[in-house]
Amino acid sequence: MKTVIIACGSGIATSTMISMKVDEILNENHIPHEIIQCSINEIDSYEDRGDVIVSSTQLQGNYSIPTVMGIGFISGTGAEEAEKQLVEILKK
Amino acid sequence: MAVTISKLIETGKVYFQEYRSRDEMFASLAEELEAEGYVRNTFLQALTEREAKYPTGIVCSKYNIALPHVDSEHVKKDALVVVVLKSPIGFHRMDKIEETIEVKVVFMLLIEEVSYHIQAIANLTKLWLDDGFMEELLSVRSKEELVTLVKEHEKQQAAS
Repeated sequence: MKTVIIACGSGIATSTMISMKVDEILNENHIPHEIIQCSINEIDSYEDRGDVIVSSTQLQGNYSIPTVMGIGFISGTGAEEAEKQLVEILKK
Repeated sequence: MAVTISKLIETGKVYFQEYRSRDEMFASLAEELEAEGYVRNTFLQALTEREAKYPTGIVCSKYNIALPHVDSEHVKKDALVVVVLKSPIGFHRMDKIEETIEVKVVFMLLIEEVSYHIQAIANLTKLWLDDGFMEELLSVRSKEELVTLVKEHEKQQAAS
């Protein structure tokens, strides 16, 4: 089981949009997963449990797990690249 | 019954306007939305601070959009406010915050009850990911026309 942390400014709007898309992608790729949706400020408290962080905004901090810029999942531009990156990280 | 985007637009507002700047637009919208009971008097400050810290400009394939929003404590009524700008205005990019982009359409989500609207929030992206919808959006001239357009779109999505 992989744990994906999905973060945005509030942990509500854009992270919800990204979550739906990530869930779809991981199901298609047969990767069992759980999603933790949170605000950027809350990432620290979930980091230990996560395998990857997907965010809609630029991350300022340094994290111990890989990060993926998830704006493509909302904007459409760069979605394929983000998808590839995410799946590669989680298939390891 | 799931809340749909068209329903949120019906309860919300649609503007076809010209603003000199983002701040002018925020101030003007906040004043009207507060007067009409959509938001609390803390809305403008919350919106401005939020946009400064976590900007919401998004680069899309047809034209750029922005998605300004605040926490639910500043909102009194669930609605979607759509602003089609006569001339684009500058927003900072969500994913590259020091960069400014010219935004043509603003989707302002006013959500008081989050859990009830998860699906609607997620579905909002499907609208701007659809180039056909985005093109048609620019020729819409009234709230009624926009609601009809979104409903058609929702029907297509449900069928596919």
